[in-house]
Amino acid sequence: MSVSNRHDGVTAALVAYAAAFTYADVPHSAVDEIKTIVLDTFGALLLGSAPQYSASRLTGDLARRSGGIAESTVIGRDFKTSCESAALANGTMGYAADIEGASVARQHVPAVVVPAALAVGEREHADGRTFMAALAVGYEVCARASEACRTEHSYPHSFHPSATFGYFGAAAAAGHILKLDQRQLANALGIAGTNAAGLMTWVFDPTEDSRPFGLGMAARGGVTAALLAQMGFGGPPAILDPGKYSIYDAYAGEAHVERVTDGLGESPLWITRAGGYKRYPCCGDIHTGLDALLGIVEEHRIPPDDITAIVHRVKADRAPVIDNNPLKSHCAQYIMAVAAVNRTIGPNDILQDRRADPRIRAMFERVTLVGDAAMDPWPAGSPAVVEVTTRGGRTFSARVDWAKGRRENPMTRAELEEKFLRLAAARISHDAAERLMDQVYHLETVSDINDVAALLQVRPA
Amino acid sequence: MDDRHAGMTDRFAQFVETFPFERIPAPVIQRTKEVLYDGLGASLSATSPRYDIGAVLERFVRETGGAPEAQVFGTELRTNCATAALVNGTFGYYCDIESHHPGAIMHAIAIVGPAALAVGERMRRSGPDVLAAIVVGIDVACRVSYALGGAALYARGFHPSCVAGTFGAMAAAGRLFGLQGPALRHAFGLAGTEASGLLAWVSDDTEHSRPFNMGLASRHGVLAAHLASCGLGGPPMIFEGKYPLGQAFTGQWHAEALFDGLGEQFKVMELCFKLYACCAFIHPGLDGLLDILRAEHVRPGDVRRVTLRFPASGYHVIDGNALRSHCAQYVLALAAHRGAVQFFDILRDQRADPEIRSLSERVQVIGDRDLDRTYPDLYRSVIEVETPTATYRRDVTYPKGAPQQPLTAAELRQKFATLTEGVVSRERQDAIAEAVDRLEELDEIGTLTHLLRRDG
Repeated sequence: MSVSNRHDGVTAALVAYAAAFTYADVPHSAVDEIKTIVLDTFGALLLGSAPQYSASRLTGDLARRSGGIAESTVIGRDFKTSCESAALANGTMGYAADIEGASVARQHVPAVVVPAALAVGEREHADGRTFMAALAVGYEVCARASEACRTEHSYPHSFHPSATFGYFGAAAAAGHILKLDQRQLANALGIAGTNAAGLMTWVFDPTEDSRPFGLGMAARGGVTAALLAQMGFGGPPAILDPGKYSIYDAYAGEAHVERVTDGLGESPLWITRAGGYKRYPCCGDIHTGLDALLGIVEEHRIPPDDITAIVHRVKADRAPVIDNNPLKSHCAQYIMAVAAVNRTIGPNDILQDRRADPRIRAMFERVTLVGDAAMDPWPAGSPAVVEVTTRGGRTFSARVDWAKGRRENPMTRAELEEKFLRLAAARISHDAAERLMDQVYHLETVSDINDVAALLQVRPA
Repeated sequence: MDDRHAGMTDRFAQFVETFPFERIPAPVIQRTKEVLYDGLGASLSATSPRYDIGAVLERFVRETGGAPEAQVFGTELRTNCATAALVNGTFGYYCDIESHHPGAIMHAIAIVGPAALAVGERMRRSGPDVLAAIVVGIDVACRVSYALGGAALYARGFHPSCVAGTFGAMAAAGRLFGLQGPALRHAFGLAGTEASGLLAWVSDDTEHSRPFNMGLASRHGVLAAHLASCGLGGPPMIFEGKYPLGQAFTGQWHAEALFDGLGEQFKVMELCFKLYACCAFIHPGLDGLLDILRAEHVRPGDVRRVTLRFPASGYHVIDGNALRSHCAQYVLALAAHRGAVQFFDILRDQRADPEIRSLSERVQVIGDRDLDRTYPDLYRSVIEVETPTATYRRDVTYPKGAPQQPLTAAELRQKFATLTEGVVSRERQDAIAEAVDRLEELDEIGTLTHLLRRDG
């Protein structure tokens, strides 16, 4: 690839920024945003820690069996282990239910960065401010690496950006808590970057285990890299610079290196640009369709048996991943069918195949997904047009540009809290969830993040 | 993709799960033992206190902890099999003097050996079980590399040893965990999900991240097999489908490489042993250089100029590389003056010696299109040494240690002794040699791994 040398030094610039970053650099207005991200991610982690999520159960079991210094919580369990082992299990849980929000730059950042920061934070007895600053740094580095590789193009390339670039975010977040100096942080990013991995092949794994596992690996990969760098381990010191053997050739096939540093320290932090929160435990690209469908059937009171056809239109480039995907969470036809019959979609609809119910099976056959190139220029990211045809021959149509929960169509505070309490209820008492929420809302006064992590532990019943 | 190879992940996995020890020919067993023995010498060498990597990794193991399942080489520590594979795999490539497969660009034993030993120890497997796992693991690693296209991996910036080596470690570990049926297919998928390893380490002059990638490949292979054995699912057709392995890493997939001669021609027989602690690309040139100096009675001080011709597609790796181990200018000048290439002299820049410095500035590396015809299968090199009175030339196709130019048992012992001097006693060296020698008779591989702990 021909890339000019004028971008040499971008890694050094980003590292200098990240290594000097402190809580004081988090804008006052961003603090609430960060707390909301933490709250939402804790909800997703608790739900994802439920044993019905086999990837969480198995990585958690492995963490117990493989042993390790008892320093970091395995969420939803009653034991601690080494921070890197905890990061693998918790990172897997973070994406297990696919309901965590606050994505940015096409990255499920919080599923990777929150577990990484939490695990290392416990090891180091970090305070709440350090934890929040670590998240801000993790987001910043993760999003910038992803943007520079223009990861919207890496899907056909087979790499899963949330995993591959998650390694950078986890290393940066962990590095912040470990107080790495510039040289160490550069090494940490280098070690993490040379080992960044994660393929899209999980879309052919109907167990849905390898999907979240890729993000768990990213969380652990970043933590391992930061730990080793602190101990004096070396790494390629300029991993985001272009040139021979760069991440751009390897993971992207294109390089937009200026995005590593554009507006660094000036424009809003990437963590404040996160895209919003998810109401449904499935691929974000199906949410607009769900909102449109539920809007139609509720407004027009259409009983499921009256529906003869559902046409779900999305942008042409969004269709391939969600079109008849063997993974229920990423299968538009399945999700829409369940929602059309049940008027809702919940975690159990992903864990169990509802097509055993003949009404849902029949509805599934009536859903058509259309990748519509005419929609591609629309400004919204994942807009949907849904057409529902009834037995009477009438067709109802609705267009949704931004799903409820998105930054452009936000959930209220009450809705976010309701979501958190509902998800947390899968594992902890209402009382404990309220206390956890209170801790999150007062993170800046938390003196040891272990006090927060303790509320994420669950004793066996 | 080619329809003739439909179901190829499944068929390849079948070989891994069913190929029996009894079908491994005696010469293959013998060579595998030599490869393992040689690899252990290289690994133990890395644990010498004169290198810093051992102390860092020992601290890492202490601070993260783990169930005492497997020996960490050169320490008193035992830890879980995945962490042991990580550390031992890193040691395996640190001195860059263990055997490798040139065509597959694969440091197979550095990755597969530690995975097989760690899991074998955890599962209390026998010597034959571990030997068979290593034979199969090396085969898988090399074949996946060929299927991806080793040169294409390089061109994209991926280290073939890491990407494909993850599959080799997974296969070896998978056999020892006893993976069967869907679980083994899932392990293949999980290995693909974890596989990576950039060549970006060439800019890391600590030389830590270079071997660490191998350690990670070993750990990830172990982890994939371990999790699959616990029931974790994975994409069961990693070589096929909409997002196949080849598409991610090279855009190529040569499925026939998986199956050509499978179970009959063993990649372990094609490994080259290394006499020099540097990139294998430079070994034919080194043989030629040292032969000229010896046979033609040329004194190093009399060398005016050295010209190394290397296949055009690969010469950039060794031409003026900032990494001394991969810098032909440095290595050739060092060898001319010291008569050998030891890793310590790679790590510590010997250009403080003005003679070495001066000669290194008079070494030229030329990319040669003619030599490309047999690359990357062969690193055939032409070296010319110019003195005030004459120019000598050697055309070397196979370096010493290549299958066509094997090392004798005595040479292997000598190499092991040199590498492990100051790390393990003479007595321990003998014990390790003996244990490897009678590996087929060992009921438990722990008998061998116990000998790899810190000595004294």
